[in-house]
Amino acid sequence: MRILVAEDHPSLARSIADGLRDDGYAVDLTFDGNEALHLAGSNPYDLMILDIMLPGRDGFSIIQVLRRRDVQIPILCLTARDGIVDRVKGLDLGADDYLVKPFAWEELLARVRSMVRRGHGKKSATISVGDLEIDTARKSARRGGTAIELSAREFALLEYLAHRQGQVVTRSDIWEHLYDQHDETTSNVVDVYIGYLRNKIDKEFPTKLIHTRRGQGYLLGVEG
Amino acid sequence: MTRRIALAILLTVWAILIAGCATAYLTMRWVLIDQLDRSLVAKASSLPELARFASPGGATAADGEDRTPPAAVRNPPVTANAAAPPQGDRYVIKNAAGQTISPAAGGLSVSDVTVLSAGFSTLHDGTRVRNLTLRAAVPGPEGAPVPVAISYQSSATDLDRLLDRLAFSFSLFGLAAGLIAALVALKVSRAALKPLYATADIIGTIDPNHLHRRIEAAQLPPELLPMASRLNEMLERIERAYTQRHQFLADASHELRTPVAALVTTAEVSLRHPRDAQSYRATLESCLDDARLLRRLVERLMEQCRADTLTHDETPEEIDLTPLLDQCADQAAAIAGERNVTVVRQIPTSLRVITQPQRLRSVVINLLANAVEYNRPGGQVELTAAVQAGVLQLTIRDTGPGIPPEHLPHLFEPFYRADKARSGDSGHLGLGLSLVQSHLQALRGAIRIESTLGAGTTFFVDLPLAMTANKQLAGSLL
Repeated sequence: MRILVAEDHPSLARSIADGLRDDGYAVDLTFDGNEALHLAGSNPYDLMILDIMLPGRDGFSIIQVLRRRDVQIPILCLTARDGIVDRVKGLDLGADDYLVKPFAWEELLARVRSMVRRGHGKKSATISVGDLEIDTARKSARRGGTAIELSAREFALLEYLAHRQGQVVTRSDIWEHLYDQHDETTSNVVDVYIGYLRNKIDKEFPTKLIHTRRGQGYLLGVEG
Repeated sequence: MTRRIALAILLTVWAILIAGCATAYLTMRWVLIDQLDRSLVAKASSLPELARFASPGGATAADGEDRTPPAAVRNPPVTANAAAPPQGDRYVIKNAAGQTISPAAGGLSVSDVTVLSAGFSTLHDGTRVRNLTLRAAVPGPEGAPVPVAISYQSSATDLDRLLDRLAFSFSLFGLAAGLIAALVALKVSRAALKPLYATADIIGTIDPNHLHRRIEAAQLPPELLPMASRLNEMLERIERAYTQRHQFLADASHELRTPVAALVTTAEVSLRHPRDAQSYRATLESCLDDARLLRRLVERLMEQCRADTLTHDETPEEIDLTPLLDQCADQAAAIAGERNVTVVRQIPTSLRVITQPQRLRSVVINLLANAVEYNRPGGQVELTAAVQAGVLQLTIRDTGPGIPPEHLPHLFEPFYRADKARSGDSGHLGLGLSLVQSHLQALRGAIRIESTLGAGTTFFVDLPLAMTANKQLAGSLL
């Protein structure tokens, strides 16, 4: 899951990015409004956390331009103004949710999870693939009643595949959603993580859930 | 208010009525007594005894009574004659000459009747009577007029009863008329004061949440219009001040939110997982940065509040401005050195002014700090002071990038930043110029900005040489 954080207060921006990375999200960070607009328009983010008061271009204008260009990225507004007018304006322009500063970190995380879920058309926090159960809120997975230990990155990969279960997902798709713009790995790293995930999810079970489509990508599902 | 008006009207009406009734009563009394006296004179003039002066027999009778008045005190005989004295009337006829007078041909005619004295007295039985003493001339036997004195006494009971009734009716009428007038006055003044009460009701509903309400001048009587418009003007001023305060508070809390959010988020994120010492150190440093920003913000806010509210905190004193300006320039030069900016000054060797030194220092320091802050590396800040036409002129010029003209009108608004970048790191809180503005208002000064993009910005500050009303001192400085 890849998130764009656009916030001009340096320490707040860095803390949000660090906290999200701790939870396995890939995070791109920008302090400037124009850069935020450019990044949001050119990368497949699962969510954008947008401060309204940005230098260069303010958050309202960014939402307006993105929605006019039909960019469907979910947008969570951060605002220091708690006036109803400001909140309503953001939502009317096409923001999906807002959070007034200062906020509790747990609440931000919960909203991020729910918005990412809804961005992929899911309302429930748990996703089932056969006998595999993925709890996006607790960041945990169980298969046939057995808990599976996953690293943050492995879980992020599993969650992304689960959101698109039954569909073939290309390697570069996965790479773009799991790694931020400054990551120096290549999409080959995806194959490595798929291997880790297979070891933990499929190895001890007769029914395989992760399938390789040669030349196309990967697919998570009961039937290959 | 209405009661006092009614009472005043009641008392006025009563005073007028009492004066009117008293005048009417006294006039009536005078007229009635005069009428009574006339009728008594007429009766006295036609007393049958007077005829005896003209008869020989009567002369003897009158003779003996000459110098022992009363000459005759008797009850007159009852007669149908209208002129005859009624029962109960008593009279005394005194002959001054003591001569026998025979009746003149053609009958008795009493002439030259003069009322010598008139008065009331009370008899032993308690009846009030009217006493008249008359002098008259009666034709004597030889035809010559004979002077006689008549003392005539008649009951005043009828007159008294009449006057009593008059007094009673007048009192009753006055009382009633006064009360009616007071009631009418009460009603009228209540009606007249109704808009005032309505206005009071409106004023009563004005509180911080309803400061937009105004008194409706249209329904007020013209006399109250100046008061209403002044009150509305006052409300206007209060509303403006209140809105500004409110905006400042909202802006201030907005400014505080982001560093607080940063502080809380940084700490929360850091504590979610165990980390190494270096990571915790980085967290603490980040928190400290935000805490320092918060402290600076709070200090600035308090400074701004003090500058706004306490206009008489510092007594103006006569000082030499030169050392003060030098100190400010030195301070600015210390920060400027780090940015490779030079501070030059053109200050007279001595500059005596009466001012509030702390405020003036804050103005100069803030403007110099701004000029250093927004300068280009290798740039220059110039501070000049001069007196022209009795005005102290301070100029702070920088060689920075200049301010786009659309920002100029807003520069003095609290938290306004022309670059819109709130970067807390660089310490641009947007409060410096607003503080300068507040100080200059207290110092009765003025500020003006000229800015050329790419060339720099100049702040012109005009200040009175003496901010007190002490003209002698001010004059000595000019």
